[in-house]
Amino acid sequence: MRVAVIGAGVIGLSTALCVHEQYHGLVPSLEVEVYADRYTPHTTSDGAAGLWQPYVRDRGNLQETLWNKETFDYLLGHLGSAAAKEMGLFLISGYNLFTQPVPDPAWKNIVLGFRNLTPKELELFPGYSYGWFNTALMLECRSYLPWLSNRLRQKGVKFFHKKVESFQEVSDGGVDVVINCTGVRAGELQPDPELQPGRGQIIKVLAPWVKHFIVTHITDSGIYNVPYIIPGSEFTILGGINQRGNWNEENSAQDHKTIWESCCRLLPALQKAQIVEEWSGLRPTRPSVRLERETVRHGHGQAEVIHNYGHGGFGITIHWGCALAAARLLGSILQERKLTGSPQPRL
Amino acid sequence: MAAPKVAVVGAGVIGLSTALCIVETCPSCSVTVLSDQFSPNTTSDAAAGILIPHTSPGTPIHVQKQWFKETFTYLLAISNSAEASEAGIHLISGWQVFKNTPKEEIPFWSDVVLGFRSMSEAELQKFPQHRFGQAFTTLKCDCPPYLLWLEKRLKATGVQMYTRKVADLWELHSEYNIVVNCAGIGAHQLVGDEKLFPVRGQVLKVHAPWVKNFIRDGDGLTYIYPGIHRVTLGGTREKKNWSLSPDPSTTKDIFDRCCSLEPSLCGAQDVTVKVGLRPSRWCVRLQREVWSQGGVKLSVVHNYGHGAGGFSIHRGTAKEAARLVGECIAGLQGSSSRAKL
Repeated sequence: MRVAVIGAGVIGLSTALCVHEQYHGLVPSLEVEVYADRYTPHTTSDGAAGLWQPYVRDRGNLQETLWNKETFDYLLGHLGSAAAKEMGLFLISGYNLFTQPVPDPAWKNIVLGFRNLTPKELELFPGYSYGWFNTALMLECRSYLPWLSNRLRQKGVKFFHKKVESFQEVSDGGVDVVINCTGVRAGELQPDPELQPGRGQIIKVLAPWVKHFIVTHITDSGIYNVPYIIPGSEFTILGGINQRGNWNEENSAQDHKTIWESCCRLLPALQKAQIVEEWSGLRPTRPSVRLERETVRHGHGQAEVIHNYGHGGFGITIHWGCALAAARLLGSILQERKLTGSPQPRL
Repeated sequence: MAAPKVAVVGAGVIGLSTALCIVETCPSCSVTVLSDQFSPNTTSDAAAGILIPHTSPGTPIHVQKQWFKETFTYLLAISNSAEASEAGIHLISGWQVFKNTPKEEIPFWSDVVLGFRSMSEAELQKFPQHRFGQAFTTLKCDCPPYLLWLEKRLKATGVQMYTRKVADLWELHSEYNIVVNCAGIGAHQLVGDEKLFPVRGQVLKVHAPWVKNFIRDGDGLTYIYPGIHRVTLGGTREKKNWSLSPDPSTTKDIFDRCCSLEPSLCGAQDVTVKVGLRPSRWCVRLQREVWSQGGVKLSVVHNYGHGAGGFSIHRGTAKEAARLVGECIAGLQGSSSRAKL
C-alpha cells in the first residue's frame, strides 16, 4: 500500500508523519513516500516566523477553529519534552493591536492568559486604542521541518527530489493514494481559481531585546498587510505585506521600506537592529482550506487523492489538525479497501 | 561659592544613577565618580536587573512604591526609544508562581507593572507543583549594558571617573565639598555600618534564547530571567556569607531547580557562574550628614543598603539622594554667605 505525499512544507511533512504514526502498525504493507521540488530551507514554511495565531476574524469555519485547537494542544503537550528545543518550539507572549474595539477571537480560550490591554499598555503603542495580550507558541520551521524529516527518515519514509507534473504520473508509478500538500502551486496539478498567492515579504533582524510578538490590525487593510514583529529564537522577523494575486518571489525595495519604517514606528527600540536577511514568499490563500478526498479520473485509470492545501497565513497554526483530518480520510480509503483488519481506530 | 565639587563613591547601578541625577538637578556641580570596581565587576553586574520590588521592612510602603514607580516610568520610556538596545532595557512578561497561596495575593506594586493579574488554571498547568500565580509584564536592566550606558551619559556631561579604593570618606575632604556614599556592600567597611550585611547570591548566566518569559518562584530562591543575550538562572540567599567564589554544588542545585520550573533549560549552553553580595539592611540608608574635624566640614549623603531590590528602586533613591545633595549645597551656600558677613 503506497501513499505518496506531494509537498515538503509543514503540511506535507506533518501529514506524512501523522499518516505513518497512525497506520504503520495497522497496515504492514504501508509505504509512505514524499515528493517535492523544494525542501527545507526553501519552502514557504521556512520563511514564516512560526507564530501560532489564527486570523483574528473568524471566517465562520468552526472546522478550522477545531483544527487550530488540536494543533495548539498537540504542541503544548510537547513543550515540556526533550524534543521541544530541536523542534523549534517555545512559548511566547505578545500583543495584538487594533484601532478600534473588536470582538474577542474564536481562539481566545485556546491560547494562554488571553486578556484585553490596559490603558497603560496602550500608551506604548500610539495610534492603537484597543488590543489583546496572550501567551501563544512559536514553532520555527527551520528547526521543525528538519525534525519532521529526521523522524520520517528514521521510520523508513523515502524522499524524492522532483517536480511532480500530474497526479497521473504518480499513480501510474504504482502509488495507491496521493496526498496533495502542494501549497500555493496546487493549481499546477489541478486548476483551482479559489487558490491565490498572498505574497509576503519579511526582514530578518538581530534584535534579541525584543521578547514579545506585536501584530497590528487595521480594519479594511487585510490581515498581515500592516506591521508585525515576531521574535524568534535567533532572529526577529519584521513583516506586514500581503499582496493578493502577486506571484513575484523577488524582494521589493518598496516593500522593504514599508516594512522597516512601519515596524520602527511601532517599536522605536528596533532602530538599532541589524538587518540580516530579506525574504519573500507566497501564502497559499484560499477562502477555506481544501481538505477532502477526490477520485481523479485520467486516461486509463484513476488516482485516489486527498487534498490538503490552501492554509494561507496560518499553516503552522493549523497543520496538525489538518494532518489528523487527512489521516482520517486515508483511514476511510484503507477501510474501503479492507486493508485494516481491525475496526477503524479512534482518531 | 564656586561650583560645588561632588564625589560619588561607588559605580554600581546606585552610584552611577545617583551621579546622573545629581548632574541633572545641579548642572553647575562638578561630579566625579570614584570606585574600586567598575562594570563588569560590580555587584550590579551579577544581578539580573529585573524590576520586581522586594519589601523592605524599615521603609514605609508608600515610599517604596514611589521609588519603584519613578524607576519603572523612567526605564519604560527608555525601553520604548531608540536607546533601548544600547541601554540594555527591555520589557519582559512572565509569571510568579507559588507552591502555597501567599498571604498577600496582590502586592503593593501590582498597579505599577503592566497587566498584573492572577494566572488562569490553564497557565498554572505548566507548573504542576505550584497552585497560585501572578502574571505581569515588567522591565529588565541588562548589565553590563545599562551600567556602560550610564557611564557613557555621565562622560558626555563631563563627569570624570577614576578607579580608586577609598578607605575612609574623610580622605576626600580636601578635594570635594560633598561625598555621596553609594558603596553598596562596601559601606560595611567604609563607614563601619554593622547593620549592613551581605546576602550572597549565586547565579548562572546561560545561552537559551528560546526562553522569552520570566518565571519566578514566589519563595524568591528560584528564578529564570531572560536578558538580551543570556538568561539569568538563580539563585541563593545566604545571609552573612561573604564569599565571592562560585560554589559548584550550588551551580548544580540552581540548574536543577530551574530545569524543573522550565524543562527546556536542560538544553541550555554556555553556563557562566556569577556571585554577588546583596547589600542588605533593614532599610536603605538615605540620609545626609555633616562631618567635621578641626574646623573642616564635609557633607556626606548616604545612598546604600538596597539589598535585593536595587534595580527596582534605583532611580527613585537616586533622585532622593540628589535632592539631599541639593540640601547640602544650600547649606554650604548659606554658611559661605554667612562667612562673608
